[in-house]
Amino acid sequence: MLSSLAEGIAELEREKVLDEVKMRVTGGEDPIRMVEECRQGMTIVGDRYQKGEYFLAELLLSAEIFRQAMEILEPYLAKTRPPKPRGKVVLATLKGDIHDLGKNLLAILLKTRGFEVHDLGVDVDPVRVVEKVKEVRPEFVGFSALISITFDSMKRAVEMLEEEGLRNKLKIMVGGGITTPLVKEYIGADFQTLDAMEGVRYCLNIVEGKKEG
Amino acid sequence: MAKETMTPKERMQAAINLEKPDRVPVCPLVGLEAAAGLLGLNPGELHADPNKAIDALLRVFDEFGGWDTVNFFPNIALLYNLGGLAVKVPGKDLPDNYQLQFDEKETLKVEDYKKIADMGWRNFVVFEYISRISDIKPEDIPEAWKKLWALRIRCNSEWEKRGVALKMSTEYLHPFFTLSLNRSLLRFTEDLYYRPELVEAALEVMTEEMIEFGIRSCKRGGDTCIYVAEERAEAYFYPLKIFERFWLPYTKRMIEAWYSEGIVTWLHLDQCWDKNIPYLKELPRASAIIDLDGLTDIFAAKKVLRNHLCISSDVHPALLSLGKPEDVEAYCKKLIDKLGVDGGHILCSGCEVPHACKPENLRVMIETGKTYQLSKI
Repeated sequence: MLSSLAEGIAELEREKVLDEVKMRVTGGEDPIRMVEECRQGMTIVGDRYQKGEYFLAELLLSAEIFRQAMEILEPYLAKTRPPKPRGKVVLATLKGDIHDLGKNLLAILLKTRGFEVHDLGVDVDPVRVVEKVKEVRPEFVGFSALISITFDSMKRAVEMLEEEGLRNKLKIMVGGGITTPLVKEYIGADFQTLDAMEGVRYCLNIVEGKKEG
Repeated sequence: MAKETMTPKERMQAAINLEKPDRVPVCPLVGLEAAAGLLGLNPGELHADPNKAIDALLRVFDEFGGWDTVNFFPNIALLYNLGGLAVKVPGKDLPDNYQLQFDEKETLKVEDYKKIADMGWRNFVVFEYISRISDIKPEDIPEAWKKLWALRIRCNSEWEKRGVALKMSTEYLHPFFTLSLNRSLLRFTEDLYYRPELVEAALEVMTEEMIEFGIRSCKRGGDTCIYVAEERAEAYFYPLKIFERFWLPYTKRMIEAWYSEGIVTWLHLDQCWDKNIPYLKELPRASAIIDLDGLTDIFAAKKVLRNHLCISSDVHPALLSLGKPEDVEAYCKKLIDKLGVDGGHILCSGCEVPHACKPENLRVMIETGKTYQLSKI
């Protein structure tokens, strides 16, 4: 049976979810269990989105409720051992572009599915991407773009990852309103989308495929 | 090859009226950023000097052989600020070689909705909001509008000399889009779902003001078209129940009011509008140009809107900046064949021509638009 937290997130009942999280965690309940219930709710939202019943608006609202719930749980979670992430992702909007809507949404959606996300922000120099990849060794690097000025920054970042011998150890994703298969080909990415949920599914498929392999 | 038999004005009018022009009208949306890129300049230089921006556009227009109609606002940053929008400007807030970008954050607060409803959007901007989003002082606003007006007079005179059709009064963002950018997408979405009455009260006032301001501005400048941009109301972002309640009625009201005054709306719709397109049949016939950016299925849209509204097409910025001229040519021909055969089509870039546009791609787009149909006669 669906927990009331999962249902609350799926139905976008913000106050109800946050009140329940506060009440249960201060009552001594296991915070990890509550995280799982919230994730279940996000999975339902994702399914509804895929079926066309929910739209980006509901993804955003549910992700924000999830984020606020995690904020409440954070101090309690810090006392427990964090579960191993499903995978690691480095995200950035590269030099020339300060838009971050799509990137931020992908970041929170990936977190709800158990990924460790390193968000470098906007207007990021490709050098910082390489440094971060060396530091955290992610399975994925994602670039978000809304204006064409970033095509060359993204291409440069991919070239630099290649030069450093890091490229073939990770998948490179690109997304945002300006991107097309032509852009993917130009910068040398593995995956392109206009849909953040499709990005999440791509990451899930890859990590699950790795586990199977 | 047959010769042109219409002036740009006649050609545009025929396309808008859903009649067959001699050839498809051509209108690449070359803005300040594209003009800078095509001339090897930094956008910052042109943002700093609007007259230099006009000169740059005219140079591009002349060097590329001209086209039928122009959407160009030389001091767009100031125009946005006066309209209540925060932007980051190259050469001022961003490096010189960057592009102008909206500075989207939660600058507008929940409590501001009531103020907007009480004071009206324009008064709210002047007396309260502009100082939050820019360094313009309220007392400087009349002078700023005068500056914009002088630029517009210069633009109009330059377009007259070049025979360009359809002068635009100004660029507006739809009230829905304006609120979304100023509240931020997330907070605005929360408002739509959790406190809809506040949003509606503000939209109501903003719509009425925009109608009145649009009419006044067009009458004063002798303009026949108003450019309205929206990229947040479609089913990419929101379910149709949101679109039906918070966007469609206000849009209909605006377009109908302007159309009754002889003004056509150039409705610039970014993102995927596939599910929303059928609603546009509720607008009066020939009252608007539906301007798509490459993310909506334009061929499906044409089937729905055929003989009802003119569509301006969508040569994608990625194609213009990364594609080969032969690919651009092939796509333009496809658009003309499929959308232009019975009128109601303007060959246009999907959103603006990008800063990184290859000159040869813009050239081939304009050339194909001007010659392809005529070559078949």
